[in-house]
Amino acid sequence: MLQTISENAKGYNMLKMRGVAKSFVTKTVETQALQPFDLDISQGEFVAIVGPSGSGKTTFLNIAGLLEAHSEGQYYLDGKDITGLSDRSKSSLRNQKIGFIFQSFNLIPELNLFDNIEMPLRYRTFSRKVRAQRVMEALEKVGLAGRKSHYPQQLSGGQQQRVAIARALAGSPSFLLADEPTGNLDSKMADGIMALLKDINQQGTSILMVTHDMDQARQAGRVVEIRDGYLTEQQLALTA
Amino acid sequence: MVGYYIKLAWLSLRKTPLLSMLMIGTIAIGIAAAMITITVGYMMAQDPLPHKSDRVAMVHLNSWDPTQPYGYRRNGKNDIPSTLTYQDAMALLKADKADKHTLFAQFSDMIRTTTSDVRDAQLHPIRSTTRDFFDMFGVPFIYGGTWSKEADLTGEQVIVLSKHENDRLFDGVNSVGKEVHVGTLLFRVVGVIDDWQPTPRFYTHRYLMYQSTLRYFVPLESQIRNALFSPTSMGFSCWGDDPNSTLADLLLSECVWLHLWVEFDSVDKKDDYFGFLSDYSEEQRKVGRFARPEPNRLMTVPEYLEKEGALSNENIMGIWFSLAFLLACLCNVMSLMMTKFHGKGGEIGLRRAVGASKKDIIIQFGFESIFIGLVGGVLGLLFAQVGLSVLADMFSNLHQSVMTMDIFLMVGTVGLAMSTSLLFGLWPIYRASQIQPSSQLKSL
Ligand SMILES: Nc1ncnc2c1ncn2[C@@H]1O[C@H](COP(=O)(O)OP(=O)(O)OP(=O)(O)O)[C@@H](O)[C@H]1O
Ligand SMILES: [Mg+2]
Repeated sequence: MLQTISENAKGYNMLKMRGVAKSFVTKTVETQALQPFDLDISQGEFVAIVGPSGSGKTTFLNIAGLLEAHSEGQYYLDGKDITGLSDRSKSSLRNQKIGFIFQSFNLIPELNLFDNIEMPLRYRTFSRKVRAQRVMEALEKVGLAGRKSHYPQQLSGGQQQRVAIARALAGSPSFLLADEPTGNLDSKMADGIMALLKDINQQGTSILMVTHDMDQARQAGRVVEIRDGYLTEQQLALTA
Repeated sequence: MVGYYIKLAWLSLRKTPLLSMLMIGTIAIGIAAAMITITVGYMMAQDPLPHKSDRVAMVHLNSWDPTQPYGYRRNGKNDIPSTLTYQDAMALLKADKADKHTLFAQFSDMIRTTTSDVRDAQLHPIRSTTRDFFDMFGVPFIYGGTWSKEADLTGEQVIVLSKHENDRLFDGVNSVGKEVHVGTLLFRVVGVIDDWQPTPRFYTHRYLMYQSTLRYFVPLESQIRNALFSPTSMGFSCWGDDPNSTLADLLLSECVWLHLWVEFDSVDKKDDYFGFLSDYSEEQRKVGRFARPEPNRLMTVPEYLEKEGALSNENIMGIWFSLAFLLACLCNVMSLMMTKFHGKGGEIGLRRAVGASKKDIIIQFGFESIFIGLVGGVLGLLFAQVGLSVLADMFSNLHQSVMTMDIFLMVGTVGLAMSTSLLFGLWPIYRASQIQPSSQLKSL
């Protein structure tokens, strides 16, 4: 069964999926994690992904972020068909077009903030000066400019997630993928992160964010629900 | 980028100190064991006479007992003596068919300076030889030089000292012209040689090859004219029933005891000389000597070393065993690396997610493996030095130089550690590069 999600075009079509599906095949069972779906996401959109646990949200995000290959269908990222690309080209697309934010921050403990944020830039041919400049800009955006020599464990959870956001921003990606970015934070810190993401979105970066929080989902412009592997567009009342 | 990867390797080692220490220590021990045996083997197998080892040859004549062979070679064939009788040695010396001749034997006697008390005399082995010994074998002098041709012919009482003995007897000053007592006789110093230790000491018997050089040298003729005879230290082999209880007896006997080495200006002269040796034994056969069938030999330095088994089978076995041990160590290191890199799954997933290709991951962990090898190699070098000095103490009869690494071996040690560490890291590195970026991002 093929579902079609209405196109909500507001700018350039960043992400275009046609008949994309994902199944995991193990020795014993085949799990259909995502049923075939079509999806278009335009530049500047803020899309929330909601749904129960185990429904396929992370799987969807991994496919969108080129961390995992889809098993069927076509996926065009920024107009480019990514089916069958080499590991190298996919890595470089991830590096230049996509920024990742994870629930558990995923900072490298033995590197200080500067080095953590610089890490994606190391896989590009930037000069040392450009790298430093970009890292400092990103740190400023998340309000941690004075802390570049600190280590992750010296920061609060909210601050650590800000560093992770700075790392995702440093490469000036076309869109950010966030998998429950506030899942490990208390509500006050979560609000801060949410405000920051909205701010980043205002400045033109598309965001795809998995969340369990209906409040946050409402703050995004568009909500996609995944249930047992089926994607559906949700029309949420804009007020609680 | 190289700097970045070295920094990451260093941080990574510091992050898991125990695991790192195990890896580095294991490599160091394996490398040290391998390098100790390789050093001893390699130093034993050095060309002791570079540039001319193929032009300097030892004369072996088959003057032995017609009723039974002199001995057996390692391959089971009959051996012939590697030393000569006095009459043959003298005949070849007089014929003067090679460009240079060195004839030598040894004896021992009490040695002291003219000013010291008789009770201070020390018993020393003394090399009795001819004047070309020093030139042929490349012995460096600090003072004076070898004795004259005259001295060889007339048995003049002159002596050459080692630096060590010159330091002991004369406080290291130029002692040329001074005199020392050899037993009851007075010998005049004509030269002092610098420290000199060919490895192996190729010109003598196998069981003496890794021992220190002698410290006194006198003309062979002076030993003979003064009938200096010390049967236990002279090492002669006899057959038949000629008397041999005095030096005079020995000179007339069929006992073999003199080493004869010859040097040629060019390699092609060797064949002519061998022809001359054949003619000589043919003549001797006519007067009833040289009745055995095995041919004479004219052996260059490498040939003689090979025949004597300078690098013994035990040495080669030792090297194989230590390499097997190194292999076992490296397999352990491989499994430790597996553990180490496995623990880095989160970091690898993250790096892959933010844009590192598999190749980038391979390079990063390749650097880490090489870095581990480098540190392990340097530590192993240190262990090997300690091991070699302990060995040198234990086997003090072997000369120090066999237990000493040259710069080539030192660099080789560290290089071996780095390359094997990388080689045995390849599988763990490959596994690390295969980690799915999506699978590891939930924890770090
Ligand atoms: N590598 C894998 N191999 C096999 N099955 C998998 C794999 N990854 C995910 N799945 C399965 O796919 C389905 C979707 O998983 P996914 O992680 O996308 O859920 P989710 O919506 O992100 O859940 P949560 O809200 O708990 O994070 C689950 O049934 C899961 O067991
Ligand atoms: Mg999930």
